[in-house]
Order: sequence, then C-alpha cells, then structure tokens
Amino acid sequence: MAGIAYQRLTEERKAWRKEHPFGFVAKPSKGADGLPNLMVWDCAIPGKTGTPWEKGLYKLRMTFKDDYPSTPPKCKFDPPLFHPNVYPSGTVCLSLLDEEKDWRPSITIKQILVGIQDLLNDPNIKDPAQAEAYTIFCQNKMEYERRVRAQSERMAPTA
Amino acid sequence: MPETDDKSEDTATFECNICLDTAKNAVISMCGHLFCWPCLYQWLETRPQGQVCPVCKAGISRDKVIPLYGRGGSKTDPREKLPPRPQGHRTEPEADYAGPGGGHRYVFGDNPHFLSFGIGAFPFGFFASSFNLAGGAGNPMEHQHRDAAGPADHQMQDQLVSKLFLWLACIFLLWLLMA
Repeated sequence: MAGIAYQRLTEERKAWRKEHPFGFVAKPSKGADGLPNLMVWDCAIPGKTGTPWEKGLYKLRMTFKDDYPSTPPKCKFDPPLFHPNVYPSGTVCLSLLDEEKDWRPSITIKQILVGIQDLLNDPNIKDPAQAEAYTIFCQNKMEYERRVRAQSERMAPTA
Repeated sequence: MPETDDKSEDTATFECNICLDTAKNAVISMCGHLFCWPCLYQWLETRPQGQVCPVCKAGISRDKVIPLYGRGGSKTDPREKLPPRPQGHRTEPEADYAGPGGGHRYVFGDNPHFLSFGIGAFPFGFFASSFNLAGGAGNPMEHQHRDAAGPADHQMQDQLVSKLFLWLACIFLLWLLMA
C-alpha cells in the first residue's frame, strides 16, 4: 500500500510548491544517491512574531511510514527543542500527530506545521514530554521565557 | 505555477481527501466527504474498530459509503472490485476429514451408530458389534467408499439380521415360558 503514501506525498509536494505559509520550509530530503526521498521531509517552522520564539527557525524532520496517511508522520526537531511537549529526542508530542487521538488522513503537511507552530508558544501542560522545560515552565515563567528567547537567537536563520 | 487558479479550484472540489488527487473509484461518506475507495479502504483496514471519517471523524463503515458514478465511468460498485483484499486466504484445517488420522477417527465415530442395531436384542448385540468391527477394520478409504456408494444396502442388511435375531429371541423366550 506504499502506493497511496507515495501518491499522497507527491500531491502534498505539489500543493506546497503552489502555496505555503510564509517562512515555513517543507521539502523531501535528499537521499545518499542525491535523489529526493519522499518518505522523509526536511522542514522548518518559524517562531510566531510577537512571541519569545519569533527569531528562531526551528528545523524539523518529518518521517512517513508506508501506511501514511492512515498513520501520522513522526515529527522530530533536529536539534531537539527546549519545549514542554518535545521529547528529549526531539520528537513532538501533539494530539494531532497521535494515531489514537486527533490524527486524520485529511490533515495536510501544511496543517501539521502550522499546528506545531501554534504549539510552540502554547504548550500543553497536561501532556509533558521533557522534564526540564516542563519544570521551568511550571516553576518560573520568567526563566522559561529567557530560555526560549536564548534558544530562538541560537536558532535564528543564518542567512 | 503555470496552472490557472480557477481550474485548480474547480478540480480540488473533487479531490480525494486522503490522496489529495482527483478521486478515482469514488465513494462518498454519509457526512459528505469524498474519497477514492482504495484510499478509504486502507484507512478502514487500519482500524477495524471505531471507524471514523478521515475528515470529520463521523462514524463511517464500508456499508455507510455510497459509490459515485460519473458519466462514462465504470458502473460497477468500486467496493466490489477494489482493492484486492490484502489478507492472504485462510485455509481451513482439513485434518478432520482428510489424512490418515482423521480417517480413523471417522471409523471409530461410526461404531455407536452400528451398535444401535443390536439394541433390540441385547444378547445378540455382541454379534452385531463384532460384525461391524470386522467391516470397519478395513482402510478408511474403503470405509468412505462404502458410505458413499451403498449405505442403504448395508443398513437394510443389518436391519434384516437385527430383526431375525429379535424374532429368534422372542421365540426363545416364548419357548422358555411355555416349558
């Protein structure tokens, strides 16, 4: 059934090239042979302006399984992010990306990336994925914001 | 992009909500969402329980979608032909009816049936059963063949023997009483 996944990702690529939200990046990764690999996409999410995240462009790798879009892609920040809902490995914990929760095959890559952007400045404290960001967020909001700002500057686009 | 926006807007209305391409072998859910049947089928297969619409999460199932027939398209229900089921064919265990082990069990299983012919005259039941054992000791193939070809013939014979013994028993008892 990899046929459906491949077909869908081809359409996603087409739709993205036609139109995508400003500042976002999403493109199939280049394999070792230099050919694009549709099953792994390299993406980047800009922080929303007016938030401590605004300066950063956060790189994320999206990995699709053969049964996509029946199952959601795995989204992993690389490098891992200081955020309550990002696992130490960098994997994003979001109900939208959970097969058992809110994932639906009609959710597009664009919607996923915008959804993750929303999550950046609006963490879900009921579902923590890393101890560090979670405890600082709960105990010291000022310190949390300082850390987020520092991270955004560290992850500002170089160009 | 070279495509005009008007055209893409038009075709997007008839795109499958799963593969995002123009719906082929289209089906529509009760909640009004359009899919290619193969795409929807894959989704339904991944969750046999709690099947929901891939767009709005309304309840959905194979029986609750309607095939769409456009002009000139195929008139066959897409659910009938597509896709070929991914599961392998499950073969029923045949050991019960074929193979040497099964055959023997079949022979033994039949014995009580034959024994019942001897019940009418219990002193002669032994004869009846031993008679049958002799018949059943042959190979299963022969046994099956006998069952298939002339079961009525054998039953008639058995019944005749049974009745004969019954009459003999009656006469014997009568003779005992008379004496």
